[in-house]
Formats: sequence, C-alpha cells, structure tokens
Amino acid sequence: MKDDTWGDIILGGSGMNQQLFANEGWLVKGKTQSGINENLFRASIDNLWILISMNSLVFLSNNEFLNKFGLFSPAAWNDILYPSYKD
Amino acid sequence: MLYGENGAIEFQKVLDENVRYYYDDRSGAYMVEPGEVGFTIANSETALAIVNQGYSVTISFPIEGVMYGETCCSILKSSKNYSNVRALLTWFLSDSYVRSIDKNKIPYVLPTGVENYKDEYIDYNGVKFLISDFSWKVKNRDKFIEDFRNYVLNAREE
Repeated sequence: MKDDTWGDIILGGSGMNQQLFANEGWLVKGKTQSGINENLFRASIDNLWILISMNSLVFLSNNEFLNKFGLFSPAAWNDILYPSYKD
Repeated sequence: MLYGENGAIEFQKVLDENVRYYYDDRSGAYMVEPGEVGFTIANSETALAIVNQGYSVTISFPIEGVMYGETCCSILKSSKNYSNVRALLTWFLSDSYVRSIDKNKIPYVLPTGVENYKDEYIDYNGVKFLISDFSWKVKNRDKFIEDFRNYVLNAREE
C-alpha cells in the first residue's frame, strides 16, 4: 500500500472493482475471498467486502396491453423469443 | 452463463427478431406503461423507480435465473476509524438497513435475507440470482460486445 493512501472505506463499485483493491492489498482481509455468500445480500463482515445492493435485468410488462393480444408477461428467457411478441 | 458464449450470441440473434428498439437509457422502460411496447428488458433500478412512481406495470424475473450487478463496500487497511466503519458495515448487513431502503423507496433489488421481509411490489421468492465469474467478465466483456455488434446488430442492418 502506498504511504499516502488514506480513507476508511471504499463505498460503491462492483465486486470486480473491489477485487482490484483487494489485489493491491489495500483491504482488510477476512476469512474468504468473496463478499458474496449463499444468501447473497447478507454477506459476512469477515469477508473482504460486503454486498450492499444489487441490480439485475428484469422483465417489465404491461399486462393489460399484452392480454389484449392474448399474450402474457414473459416468465422465462425463452418466452421472449416467441414471434407473437414481435408486433 | 445460461447459454454459454456462443449460445448467448445465438440467443441474441433470435431475440433480435423481436426487438423493436435497443436503448441504453431509461426511455425504453417508460414506453411500457403507455402501451408503446408490451414489455421490455430493463434494469431493475429503472423498473423499480417506475413502479414507485405509480405506473401500472409488472416486474418479473426470468425463471431460469438472472445475473446481477452489485454495489459493494469494504474497509481500507489505512482506516483510522476502524470501529466506526465496522459499525457502518454491520448496519449494512442488518435488517434495519434493508427496511430503510424499502421504506424510503430506494430502487435497489433486495434479495430475501430478512425474516418476514415482503416487498410491496415484487415477489422475490424463487428468484434465482446467478453468481458470475468476475475474472471472466473482465477479460471477455469487450469481446462479447464486439461479437454482439458483429453478429447481431450488423447482421440486422444488412
């Protein structure tokens, strides 16, 4: 670590970003190499970093609109390949 | 991850037939409620923000699972306030933190980790969040985007 490194926490950034700091040896090291455990959000504080929020891709649907055309909100990735959704 | 590298591009090729617009901002998601499009694939933060604004739309997760992005927090070795920052991180891991985000309508995905937690708009039960390989993503991101441009977008223009 550089002598002029200062601060208390790194707030923000993905695990990917945090790993870069971990590789430099800047982070307080815990028991494991990952901030993600089996139930994701409630990661252990003993890890190098913790996960404090998540985002993902979701399906955002207008069911009323879809139902008019006999369609439903997609439930699976393969559902959105149906040609019926094209128009 | 679900389909493999080549499978993902093949999936995108088929999906492209159904895509009306590609957007790199929130505007596509805002086309759902007025019925300009029936549905869209949106970032959860955008989708939750739209729902929180009162728009009549439905959020769902693909049953096969979905990758996720994350925001993380760590403690620097140089910290001179270790007990305080440890307390902060402890709070991040608490029910109180999760419920405060929910109460203040901050549009983050909140996995079920809190006993009796129930989101007003989204049923997280059964949502399969897929853990990704960070190293692989760093190494292959540019190549994957390039492949998408070459084999999906450019093919579409022809």
